[in-house]
Amino acid sequence: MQEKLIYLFSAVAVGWAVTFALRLLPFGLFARSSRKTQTSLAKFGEIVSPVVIGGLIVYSFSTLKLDGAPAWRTFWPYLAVALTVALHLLFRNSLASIAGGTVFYMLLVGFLGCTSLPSSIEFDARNPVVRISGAGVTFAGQFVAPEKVPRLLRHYDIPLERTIHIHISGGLHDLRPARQLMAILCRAGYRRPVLVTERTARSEAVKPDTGKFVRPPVEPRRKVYR
Amino acid sequence: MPGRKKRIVIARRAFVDTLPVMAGYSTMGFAAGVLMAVAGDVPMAPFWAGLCALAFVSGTLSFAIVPAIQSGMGLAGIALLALSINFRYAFYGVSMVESWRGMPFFRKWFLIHSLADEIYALDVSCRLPNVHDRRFYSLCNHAFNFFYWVAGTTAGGIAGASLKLPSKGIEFAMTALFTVIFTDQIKYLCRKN
Repeated sequence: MQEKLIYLFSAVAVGWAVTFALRLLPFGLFARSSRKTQTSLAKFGEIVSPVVIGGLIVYSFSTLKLDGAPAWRTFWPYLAVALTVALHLLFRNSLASIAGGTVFYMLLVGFLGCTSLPSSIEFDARNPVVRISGAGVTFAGQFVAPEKVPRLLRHYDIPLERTIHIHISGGLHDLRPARQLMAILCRAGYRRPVLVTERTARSEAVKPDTGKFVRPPVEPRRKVYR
Repeated sequence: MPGRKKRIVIARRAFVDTLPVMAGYSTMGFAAGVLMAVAGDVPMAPFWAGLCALAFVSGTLSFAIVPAIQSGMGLAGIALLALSINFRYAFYGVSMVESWRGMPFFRKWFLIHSLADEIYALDVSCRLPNVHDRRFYSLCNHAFNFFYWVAGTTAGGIAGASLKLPSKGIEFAMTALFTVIFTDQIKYLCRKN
């Protein structure tokens, strides 16, 4: 708690120091420079700021999340951005454009339940599945080296206490890579990695529309190795 | 400092000029406060939202610092973020250097501290002939807008922390803000060239 407060205070202090220093800059540094230098500086600023703001749009896209998964892979944020730009070009009222775009996005993801693209529905942050097949390890549709799986899970904000299914494809009879992966996850602090074979995994499928975890029937549970 | 009667006239004029900004600042501040409050792992969110508003006087940074704090970004990263976001403020002062020269220390520092986009635009568009009148106008303008911003953000923080607002997707407000600024800048550059 105390560490957190110190961190927050120092974050605000750093932000303030940098911002204030930037504002102070012309009064100290350029106060005595010639008018020509000042106009060229102002011109430089005019060109630099759209570039910076463009970069910030990309940054803010990377922070958008939908149920723990990055939202830039879906097209809802792009729709909302398009609406924001259209509103702004039409009415030239910043407040209306920002509010319109944000409310539209909130409606999309909050009330209309637009979460992810149909193609990526297999990834659900509440029920993460790491798949092992003869070709290698995949998570959320992408191939990943076994030792990099914890980092990927952290990237998707999956908490340590969540059950992580290590799904072994039907063709794979060697359990050693799966057990190695389990050890890697345990070492990284994930408390509940579970090995699942093809059959149990199918019975433990997640309902895509609700995202709810369906309890498997008792029978295939014998196939789960802990 | 102009005479008492004139001060009242200038202050009233500044207040009328800041009314449109009041609408923008208080709502954007409210959104920033709500964002900070629903981020979850920030204790005493209204306080922090208010402090951020007070310290930065920069809506963009108030928005952008929330995911940074949430992900535990290092202080160097936050410094870099602030630097890139508020880089444009380094050019606002250039046109103010002359008219603010020789002002009393605290007033000048307050004016510099609260030099943000809309406030700057009002400062520049002020057409009062006397430099002392202009300074007093700037002071009123900065004070009013500063107050709207801090009050809006704190209110948003309180609302976000105490009410169960539908907050899913509200983090898009930051993207929308950047998009609007970007569109404005591109439009400005296109019109100029």
